[in-house]
Amino acid sequence: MLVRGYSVFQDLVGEKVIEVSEGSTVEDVLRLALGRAPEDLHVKPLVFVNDKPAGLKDALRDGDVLLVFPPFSGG
Amino acid sequence: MPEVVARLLRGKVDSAISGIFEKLREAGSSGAGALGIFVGVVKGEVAGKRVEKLVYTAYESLAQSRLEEIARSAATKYGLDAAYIYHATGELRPGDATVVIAAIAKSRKSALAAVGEMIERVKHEVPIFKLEVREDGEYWVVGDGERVPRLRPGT
Repeated sequence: MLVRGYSVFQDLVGEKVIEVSEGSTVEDVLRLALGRAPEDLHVKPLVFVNDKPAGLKDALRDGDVLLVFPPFSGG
Repeated sequence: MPEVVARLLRGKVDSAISGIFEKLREAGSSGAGALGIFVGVVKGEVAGKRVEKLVYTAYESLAQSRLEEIARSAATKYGLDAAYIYHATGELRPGDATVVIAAIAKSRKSALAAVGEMIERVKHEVPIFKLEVREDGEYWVVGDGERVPRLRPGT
């Protein structure tokens, strides 16, 4: 599956293709993409899967697109 | 039906303002009595450091749909004649307008409340991102103003 980071996560993650095994969760993939646990990050990620907000325990499937955002900073 | 316009624009958003005033003339003739407007501007100095530019990026498809929802929701909630949100993307310099949010309504109370609500929702609900390029380096602006130094400046 494709993982794409924005803003600070553009630096930490960039854009990667990660192999997803049966039963992988958002948290599992984030650990692989970031190289650390999401809870260890100073900036807490907002995660979207296929354009919808997702939680760390949500299950993933091959072909999903995972987007990693920081808190938004428009305006 | 209220006029609702919400757009991401490449570059400056200044030109959007003239369209809003054209609508105001039309709406005023049918009972509108107030235009509330907010314009965000690039600061030339932050934390005592000179700002060279801001670079705005967005996850555009989702950002566009959220801007539209925010404007439509405000138009309904406050009974507006018109609601406008224009947000810039790309590079902006100090003094440039970053976002224009406007509401035309029967009363100033509705217009100002709608604008206040729209700008808060834009800041918190729309996937728009900001890189601050300053004399002392590059910083991602995160959430309500936290600065995080960029890991790989210039890339």
